[in-house]
Amino acid sequence: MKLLILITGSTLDRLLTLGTITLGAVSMGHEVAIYATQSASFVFLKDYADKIGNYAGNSSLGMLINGVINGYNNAVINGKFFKWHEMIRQAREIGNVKVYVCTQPFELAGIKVNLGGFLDIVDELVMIGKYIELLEWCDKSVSL
Amino acid sequence: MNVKLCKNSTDLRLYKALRWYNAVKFMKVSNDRYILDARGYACPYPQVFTLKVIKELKENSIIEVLVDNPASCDNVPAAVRKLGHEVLEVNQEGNYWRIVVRKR
Repeated sequence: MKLLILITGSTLDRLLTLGTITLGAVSMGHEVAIYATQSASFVFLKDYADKIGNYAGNSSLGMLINGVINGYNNAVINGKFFKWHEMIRQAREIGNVKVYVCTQPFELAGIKVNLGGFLDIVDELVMIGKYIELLEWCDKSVSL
Repeated sequence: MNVKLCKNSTDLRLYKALRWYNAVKFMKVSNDRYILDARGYACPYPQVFTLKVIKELKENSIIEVLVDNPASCDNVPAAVRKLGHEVLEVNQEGNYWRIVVRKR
């Protein structure tokens, strides 16, 4: 199966879901393409990838959400879990994973970027035409 | 990494397959029988470890996967079956499960 994942948000809950789905899919032999746009484009910047700590959720869930964040941080420290971008790097090592980052948010913000400013898991900086091409390529598409 | 390395290419490939995961324990217990201890790891890692290792094993090799979360107890057998391998046993042993798989 060819799976396209569209990610538009930049919170830790979405990024962990992205890493988990990607790893799970490639471990089963599926191909994955990730298309990041809007604030998700920014998380792939080298200077920001490790700074993502906000886990979105309703405030009434605060205690439970803090439990997840603390558990995640401890597991990463103890080598029992991995940062979201390391999960994608691991998935790339196992199988076929491509990461495309949409440059529209940077253009709107007036920021000049090039591939060198991004994590080495990013394959290309692209625009909407690539997303349409990927929609034609994939068998299934999910959005986060 | 706690890996018992043997001097053959299969084991070196297995070592390489798990090199990301410093704490995972993987042992060769006898000829063509292995134990992968994925206890303490959350989803999706028990499944990822299992499928990574099983890809490198010879046909008919047996791998015993130890997991300590109920979700993996279901996910790991389902994933290996989906790829055509044979789940021989799923046994609860105290606070963990032992999933025995034959590579096909």
